[in-house]
Order: sequence, then structure tokens, then C-alpha cells
Amino acid sequence: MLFTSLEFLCMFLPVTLAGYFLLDSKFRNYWLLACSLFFYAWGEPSFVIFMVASIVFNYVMAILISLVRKKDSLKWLCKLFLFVTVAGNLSVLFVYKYMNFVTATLLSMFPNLQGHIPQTSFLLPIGISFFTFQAMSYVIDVYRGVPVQKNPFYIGLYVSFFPQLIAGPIVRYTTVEEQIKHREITFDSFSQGVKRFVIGFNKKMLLANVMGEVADKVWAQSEFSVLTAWIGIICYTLQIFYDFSGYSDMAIGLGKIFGFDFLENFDYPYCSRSVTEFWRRWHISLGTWFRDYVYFPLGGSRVESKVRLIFNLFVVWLLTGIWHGANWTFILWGVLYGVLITVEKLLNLPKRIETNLQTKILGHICTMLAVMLGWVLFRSDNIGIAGSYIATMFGWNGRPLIDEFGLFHLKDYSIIILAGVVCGTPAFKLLGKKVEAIPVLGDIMLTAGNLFQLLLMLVSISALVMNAHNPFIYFNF
Amino acid sequence: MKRSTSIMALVFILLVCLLSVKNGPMTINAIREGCAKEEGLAGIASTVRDAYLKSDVYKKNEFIDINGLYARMTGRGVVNHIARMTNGMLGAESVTAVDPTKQAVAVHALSQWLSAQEIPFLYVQMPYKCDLQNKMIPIGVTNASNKNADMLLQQIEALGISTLDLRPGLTDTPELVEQYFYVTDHHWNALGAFMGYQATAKKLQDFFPDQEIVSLEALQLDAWEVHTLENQFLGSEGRRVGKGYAGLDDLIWMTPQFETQMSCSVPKSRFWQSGSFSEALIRDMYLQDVADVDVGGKQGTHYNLNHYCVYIGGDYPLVQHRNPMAPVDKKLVILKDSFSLPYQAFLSTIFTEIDVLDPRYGMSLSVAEYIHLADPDLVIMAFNPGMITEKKAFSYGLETMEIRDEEILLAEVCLEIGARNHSYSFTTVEQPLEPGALYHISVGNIRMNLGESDGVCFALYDSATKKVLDSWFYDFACSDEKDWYFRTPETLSETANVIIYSGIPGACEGVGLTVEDLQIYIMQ
Repeated sequence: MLFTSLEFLCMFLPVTLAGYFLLDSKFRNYWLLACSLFFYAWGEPSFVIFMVASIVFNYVMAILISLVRKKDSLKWLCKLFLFVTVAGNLSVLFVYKYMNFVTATLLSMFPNLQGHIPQTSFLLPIGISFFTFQAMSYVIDVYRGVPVQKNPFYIGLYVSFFPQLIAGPIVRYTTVEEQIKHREITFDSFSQGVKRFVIGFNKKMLLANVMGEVADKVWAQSEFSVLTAWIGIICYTLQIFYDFSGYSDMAIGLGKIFGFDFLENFDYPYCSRSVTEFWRRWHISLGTWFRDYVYFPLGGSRVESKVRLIFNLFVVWLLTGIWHGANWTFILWGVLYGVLITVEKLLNLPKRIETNLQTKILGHICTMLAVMLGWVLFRSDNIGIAGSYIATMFGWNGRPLIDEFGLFHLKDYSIIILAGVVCGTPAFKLLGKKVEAIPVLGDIMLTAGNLFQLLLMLVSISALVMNAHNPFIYFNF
Repeated sequence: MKRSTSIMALVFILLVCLLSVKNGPMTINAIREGCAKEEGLAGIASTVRDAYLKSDVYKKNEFIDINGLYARMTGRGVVNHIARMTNGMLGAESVTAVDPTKQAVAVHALSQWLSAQEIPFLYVQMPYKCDLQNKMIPIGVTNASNKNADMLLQQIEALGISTLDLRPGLTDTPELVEQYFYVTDHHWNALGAFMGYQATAKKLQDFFPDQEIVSLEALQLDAWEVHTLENQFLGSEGRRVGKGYAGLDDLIWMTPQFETQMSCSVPKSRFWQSGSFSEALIRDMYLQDVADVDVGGKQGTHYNLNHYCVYIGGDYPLVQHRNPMAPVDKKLVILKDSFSLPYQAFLSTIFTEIDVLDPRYGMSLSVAEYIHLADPDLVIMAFNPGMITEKKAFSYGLETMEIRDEEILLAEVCLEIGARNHSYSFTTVEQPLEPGALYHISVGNIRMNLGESDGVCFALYDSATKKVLDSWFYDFACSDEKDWYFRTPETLSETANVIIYSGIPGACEGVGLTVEDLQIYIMQ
């Protein structure tokens, strides 16, 4: 089920809210768990069994680890349990998500292996990458000393909670541990949650989906001009940001409605002046996950040799690319980021960029260029298409500078593109902070802003009613 | 500041509750249907999803209007595949070029077949809502409709078929298109249709040199009254983008100022209307304010009323026009699309008999079978460029034509139908029917015993399903037309019979009649 669907707005959300606030507080977690499993089953009922199995597996492993971790003589067993947990989770992820890719790659290299390597026809469970990493992080945290949760339903709720189940943010158990046991909901916090949800809803429907229309059209063309190529990638850059951050806003908003505070997942990433900074602002929960569970255990930056540092970064970014999808484009995308971040680290670029205004501007332009070129890889079905697209962007393959298609879409979508660019900056946030402090005017501006978001929500619902093209990009992860 | 956000939350909750409650019955029905599928939650989910996508969600039209208004405010040139043309009219975002060779071959085959039966044939190219120079098309929008029409005409003419291109004079310039077409609909308005009718009638003079057509009063614009209903019509393109984006058109229709007496029957709907031109052909429901119209139990809106159908009421497989007072005593068969609605109405003021077939909709007889049995004086094919990609428009049943003109008399009866106090009273003809067979019913005479009626309806009726499968109207004003041909469906049930109404369905109260010399034949 999508948040941006009529059945969610008209059926699931009101029923879930009604049940939640009518029930006694001791039943609310169970109600949320039931609703979350129903939410997941709505897409494909058989996947619920898979997720419940994942919950049970990780719950049991955490219990086992907690039983042996304090005993020095059983440290080896503790490590074994951890190994089984990680191997088990990653194996399942591998089978469902990566096995066919690996098989196809091996067969392309060694055709005589045909018939000897298994291939599957499993459907990819929605959100498998997210909830697998989330469940794994819980067990790893227990290994590291976090108290184990003995109530399986609480673990079930943590893993399957519908706001962040399908597309994150990846929530750490320690973030929500106390909130699961006890949380207080005031109308103010409820309202803040509603506001956040509405903003995310509007971002998705009115910016992401519209930009997606253009990007899809451009990528569907076999030949196009330099202008069209840039329009296409700018639109995709905006689409993926508003799609994903919009979903995160809705997830955070819904969490807050039910009394949970999730951490932020995006912090105006397109304002970054370095790739390093970009990844501190983009999909923060994934970046911190890899930092805490891969990079730091490998030694992080505090290693003696630069070779080791480069290795650590390479591993993290290779895995980041692989996490995003079973395609060489994602792997190359991740590796390229690894290269860029490594270069920045070795040359201490993030600090040097902050020297003066010119370097800041240059840093921002270069970062955005790198990010957009990365999105070309991310969007393309294969490296060849990506290469051809990039060549067109820079006029390297003899395509014309402009064409009618590009001019038309530039004219038709200019206002939305401009809105997308402006809303991607903290301009409104900063303006809001400045105005907030002014008596009366601050109230008026806040009220006007809230009213504007509500009006936009009506427009967003109208887009739903119009059967607007509405898929989430990160749904496939 | 918190208060403002709290109010926002309250409004949001109210909105969600309102949508939930108002869409609740639809949701519950969908869940019930989904449960009935016995496919588990997956079946329920897909049924509910489809219900929200395809059904009328609460305030659907208002949301469409909001979406259109937002699109207009954000400067969108294309919304829901409808583009704003350079002159402000709406049009299709993309019409691709097609190779019309197969279509030309099909038309040629039909004309050859007609020629063998000595029936003349004329292909009329209806116009498209785009100027011939394509100046209306903005950058980024592709529209090959005129090019497709040019190619088809070229090929048809090369095969020796008579053609008439209505586009010159109607769509030479964007200004002419504005004059003769609706802004929010893809069709021409009544003025445009009248221009087409005039040009066609002049062309038909060549086919009927012994008839005086060109100088007829019915062809003079000043013999007609032009009516306008302002801001009531949201056309097909407008319904896709919403009033907020499209605005509303004025509905234009024309009625003759000279005397008329004619009838129009729609066998598929068991509908028959007779009287003046307005009484027979104009559908009054489209002449009122939309909010005052009842559309199947719901209030009329700009979205469930298609004002373009003010003539005839819509597209049907077969419409029969009869005008005994018409100056040209000839029978036409027109193979049409929706552009013909006003066009055929105008032509019916000139010709005594016009049978209009829309090949997109199935009849029990194929086009070829119908034409063979109707034996017209001329067949006209009148298609707009959009029909080129419509496969059914170029399929006439020539290959499977089975009529051998031999018929076997099954029964000859005389039936008396008493007057009853029921507006749909009928009597069943007790003659078993075979499935997939072609029947001919010939009526000797109908004598009114009680009450009055302008005609009598015969129908193929299934009493188990209470469905009328086909019908025919015996028009007292056209006393020489007494034969009805119909083919029974392959899956005909035993409860299907021919029935005879005691008059016109809906107006049978107090009417009694006798049908003399009713002969039922099976064709072989």
C-alpha cells in the first residue's frame, strides 16, 4: 500500500488512527503491529510470512546473544550467533535480490555453466533491504551491549512498523526503544506529525511525480539533444530527492502522529559543497548504518595506513552501491562515490572548500555535477545507456544542442522545476526562522504556510484522483 | 504558532474523515466483491484498488477541476495527454503517423463489392480539429492526423474511388477552426457540421443528376436558426483536464425554420421519436442547465452530460432516419463516426431514408449484410482522421457474407393486440427461433383498433433476462417499409422471441391494433 493512495487516505489511515486512539494504551502497540502487518500484506500477502520469519529469526538470535554475551567463556558462541545472524539475513537478501544478477553475470562470463547454476523466480519482497538492515542492526546492537527486548511483539513492531517499513528511514532500535514502551502524544506533537505528513505528501505528488513524468519521457527517447539531456537529468535529480525525502517526511510525520520520533533522513543534500557533505545529508539513516556497522568495525578513518583507509572506504561504498540494486550501474555508482570521497579525504577538500566564497561556489557546482552524473548511472538500465546519456549531456556524440522536445518541456515545466530547485534549499526554513520571531507577522506567516500546504494537499489528492503516475523509486529496494 | 498547526491537523483529520465516510459505501462494496472472489487479501486489495481508480470517488469532478486549475496556474501546456494549442483550443498531445494502406485496400474492397451490386460509393473525409498548415500545433506536440488523412485520401483516389474532402473551407486556418470547432471537444460544432452538410449535398448532386439538390431551401443557412446555450458544454478534451484548465464551451445547435415531419429510430435502444426536426432529432436534456438534468438517477454535471450528443443522443450501431416530406426520394446508407451526429441530422431534411451505421459498435448483421438487405441508392463512408486507426471501421464482413437471398416461410399469422393500461404492453409471436440464423419479418398491414400511434415496435426479446436484443419500428408515415431483417445471436436462449408492442414503447397505454399478414421467414 502506498501512502499516496486513496485507499491509504480513505481506508487504512482513518481506521488505524481510530483504533489507536480509542484503545487503551496497553493495547496500542499490538494494534500498530496488526495494522503494520496488514499494511504490508496489502501489497503481497505472501511477503508477510517472509517478514514474520525475519522478525522471529532476529528475535531469537538476539535472545541467544543476550544469554551468552556476558560470559567470557562463551564469547566464541556469541560471535557465532552474530555470524549466523548476519549470514542468515544477508543470505536471504542475496537469494531474493542478488542471486539472479550474479547468475546472469557468471553465465555471461562462462557460458558453459548454463544449467549448472541455479536461477530463481522469487518475487522481491517490498522493502526487504530496509527491514533486513533494520532487524540486523537490532541484533548487532544487542551484541554490542544494548539490552535485549524480550517481548517479541515489540520487536515485531520495531521491524514492521508501517511508516518506515517500505522505504525507511532505517531506524535504530535504541532510537525507539523507550518510545515503544512508553510514549506520550500531545495534540501539539500530533499536529506536528500531521504537518510533516502533509508536506511529504505534497512533495511526492506535486514535485516528485511531475518531475518523474519528464524524466521518464526523456529516458524513453532513443535520441535527444543536449538541452533535453540536461532537462531530463535535472528533473530526475529533483524527482529522486522529492520522491525519497517526501516519503521520509511522510514516514516521520506518521511516526510522530503515533508518538514516535524518528531521526531525520535528509538535510537539504543539494546544498552540499562536497560529496562527503552530500552523504551526510542524503539518506542519512543508510549512511550512518554503513558507518556504524561496516566502516567503524573496519577501523574507520583511524587507521595507520592510507591503503587501509582507502580499502575501508572502498568496501563501504561498494556495499552501498550493491545495497541499492542488483545491477552494475548501482555498483559503479557506489564505487564512483567511493573514489570521490576517498579523493576528498586524502586532499582534505571539504575543509579547503570552506576557505572563501569562490571555493564554496565551485565546490557546490562540482558536487552537484558529480551527484547528477551519478544519478544518470542510477537511472539508466545499463552502463552503456548511462554512458550514451552522459555523452549527450556534454555534446560528445554529435547530438544537436537543442530540439523541440527539450524546448517544449523546458517551457511547460519551468515553474515546477524552479519550485523544485527553490524548495530544495533551506530558503523557506531560514525565512520562517527569521519571521517566526516577529510578533503577529510570524503567526500570520505560519498560518499562511499551513493553509498553503493544506490547499496543496487538495491539489495532491486531485492528482491522485486523476490517476497520476505514482510509483516510489525506492520501493524496489 | 502552535494553534495554527493544531488547526491544520484538525482540518486534515476532518478531510480524511470526510473522504473516508463519503467513500465508505464504495469501499465496503469493493471489499465485499473482493471477498466473493475468494482470492484472499490479494483479491480484496486489487478490487479495492480498482474501485478507487475506476469508480466515482467523492467529489471526483471537483478534484479534476482543482487539478486542472493548478495545472493552468503552473503554466502546463499538456495535462493528461491533452495539449493547449497555439490558439488556446485543446487538442491531443500526440497523434502518430500511420500507414493507411490496409485501410485503403479495405475501402476499395467495399467499393468494388458495392459496384458489383450497382450501388454508388462516396468516401467523405471528415475534418480534424487542426488547421491544414499545422500552425495550431505547439512545439513539442506531434499531430499527424491531417497527414494520415492526406495519405488515405491519396491512396483511395488512386484506386478510383469518389472522394470528398471536407477539410478545405473548414480547417484552412486556425481562425476557421475556432469558428467551426469546439474549444474543449474534439468535434466540430453545428456550424461546422452544416458547412460539411452543404458541401456533401452539393457533391451528391453528381450522384443524383435527376434530382434538384443544390438549390434546395434546406441547404441555405438563412433557412436555419442557430441556437446557443452559453457555458454549458465541457467537451471530451475538457473532461480529461477539468473545467479549471479548459473552461466551458457554448453549445451550438441548429434547427430548420421550414416545416419538417420525420422520425428517428435507434433499434439498439428500442427508441423511436417522430415529429418535427426538433422533436425527432434534438435531445432536450442537453438544452437545460446541467444541474436540472437527471442522469440515471444522479444529478447532471458537466462530466456526465455530453452536450455534443444534442443531435440523436449519441453513437449507436444503427440509426434510421425517415422523412417522407424530404425533397429527394433516395435511400442513403452512411458508415459513420461521431462527427456524423449533426451531419446526418441535416442530411435527413433532404433525403427520405437514411440508415446510419457505426461500424465500431456491433449489430446482429454485418455492414455488408445490412447494406445488401437495405439496398440503398448510395453508400457514404464519412470518417474523421482519428478513425484511421480504428480497426472495426474498416471491417465490413465481406469475407463472411452469407446471404443467398433464399428464404423459407416459417409462419404467417394475424395478431390482435388488445389495448392495455401499460406503457410497454406487448404480445409475443409464438415462433421458435434458431440461434445464429437470419430472419426476415414482413408486415402486411397494421390496423389501429383503439387509440393512436405513429408506429409499432417489433423486438427480439429475451424474457428470462428481460433484455431487448434488437428492434425495428414500423413507421406509419413510411408505409412502404415493411421488412425487418435480423440475425439471432449464437447464444440465443429458448426464452427469446419476437414481440410486438402495441405502439411505441413507453407510449402503449390504451393502444390496440391488429397486425395482418405477418410473415416470418428464415433466410438461407
